[in-house]
Amino acid sequence: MQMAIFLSSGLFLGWSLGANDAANVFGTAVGTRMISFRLAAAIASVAVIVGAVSGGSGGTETLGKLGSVGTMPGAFTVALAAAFTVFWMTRIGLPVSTSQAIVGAIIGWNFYAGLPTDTDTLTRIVSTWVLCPVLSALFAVLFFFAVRGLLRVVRVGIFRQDAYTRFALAAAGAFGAYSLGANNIANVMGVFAQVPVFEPAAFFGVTVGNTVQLFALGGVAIAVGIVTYSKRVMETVGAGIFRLSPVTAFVVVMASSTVLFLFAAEGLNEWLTTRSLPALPLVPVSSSQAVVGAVTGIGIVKGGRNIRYARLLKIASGWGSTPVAAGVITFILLFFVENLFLLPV
Amino acid sequence: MEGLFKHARDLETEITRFFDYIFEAALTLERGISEYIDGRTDTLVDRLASAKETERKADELRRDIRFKLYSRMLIPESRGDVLGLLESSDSVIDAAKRLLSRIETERPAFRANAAGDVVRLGAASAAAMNGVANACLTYVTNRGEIQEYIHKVYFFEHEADEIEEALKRTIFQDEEITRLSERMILRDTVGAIAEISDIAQEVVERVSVAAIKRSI
Repeated sequence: MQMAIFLSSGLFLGWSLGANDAANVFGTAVGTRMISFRLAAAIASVAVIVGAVSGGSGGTETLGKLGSVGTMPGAFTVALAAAFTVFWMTRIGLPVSTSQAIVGAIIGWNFYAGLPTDTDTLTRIVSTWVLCPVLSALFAVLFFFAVRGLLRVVRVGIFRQDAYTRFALAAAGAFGAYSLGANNIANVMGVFAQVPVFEPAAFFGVTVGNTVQLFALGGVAIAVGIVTYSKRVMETVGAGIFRLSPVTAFVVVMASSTVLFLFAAEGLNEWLTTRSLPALPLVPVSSSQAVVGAVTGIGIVKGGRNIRYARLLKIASGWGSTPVAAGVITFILLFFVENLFLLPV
Repeated sequence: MEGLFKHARDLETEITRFFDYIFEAALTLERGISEYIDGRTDTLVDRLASAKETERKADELRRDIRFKLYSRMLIPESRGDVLGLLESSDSVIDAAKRLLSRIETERPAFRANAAGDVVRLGAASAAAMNGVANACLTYVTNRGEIQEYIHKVYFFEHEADEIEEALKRTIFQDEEITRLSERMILRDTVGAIAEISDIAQEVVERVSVAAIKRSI
């Protein structure tokens, strides 16, 4: 029971991630009625769990290097502070990312515990916040020209193109949800990974350790968020904020998902590192900012008239304000948890 | 997935059939005017019946396509454009039928000095109708260049305007026609033939906008 209470903050983070960020993957497809919400939710739920279980360890390892929260009450408080920061900043209309909040919260824990923060790791993480939308914009430009070129060569009729686009959106959505699970599970369960929560257990003859069980649980929390609450967000995204055609939506989803995938792809990272090539750090990044980057990339290709520079500036301001706010809130919460509830943090 | 592709194939076939009705109506219109001017007024009744039948079948098919587009949730982004094109194309068929009906009822007596121009005007309007059908088909099937057909429609509309002006001048300068009412009937008939090319031009302007919206 106590364990369930401690895990609740991480599970809540997972739920809110599913409720909000699934719209970045399937928003336009569902909002424009290209794919039904049921199908989108089913694909996203399965893919997000598979992504979390199979590809989530890279980002978690990086967060672990930033700060290793060793107790359950400490991990609970860090995740709760990140969740509260996201909730509070969203409510007052400030741009916020769960990935950046969790980093701030871990640094807050480091301060409270009197431990130094690894500046190398921190620098790598912060560089990804800038790299993520920039890379996403570059991929969007690349994919945009590729798709446009393909459509000019293939010349399919309007109805066949509609059928192909639906299939492409479903496939891109599955890839996006997989990448979301692989990249963002570290935000949800990363802080609990240092604490032994589960005993190793055998599933279908395979022994599964603590971290994988945690990631599976986090993946289920994200899936529950998708099924129970993402419909309205998807319809809002599809109908208003980013008014994209289904084909452009496919480009945006592919570009942002590729970036999320690259920041979680352990195999690629290892392949590049062993060949002394520069590799992208394995860090959880914001899927919303990746989407904004991709939309901006397409905006640039189309002449740059519809780019909302104010929105880009707001995102950049969030790179500073979100971790600072999360750090301060974590520090305050840790003080109360340790001194009021007398729990080791 | 296979079902989705089957629906796509079926609807493309139905829409192609719809635009075939425009070709059919254009042919009926051109032949009807030409035969009437040649004095074969007996065939006009058959041509009018044929135009009415084409219009009825086109209306039915358009309703069926609209129902399928909504019930199967196909092409949500371009659905409005496609339905708009079908409706405005249908108005070209309606205009052709109304014209034949008008000629059959009023029997305007064109003199020999106007006869050739009336046939040419009918041919220009029929060519504009063919251009509409081709442009719309190209928009739907994405085979060929829409601009080519759009330019053709503009060309025939311009030609129809010039013939219309010349014909009106001929009608009002012809001293053989003594009654103003007769001049007015002839003028209105000429205006109705030319109007078909004007409607055709409006339709291809819609096609042009829809094609721009469709390009990513």
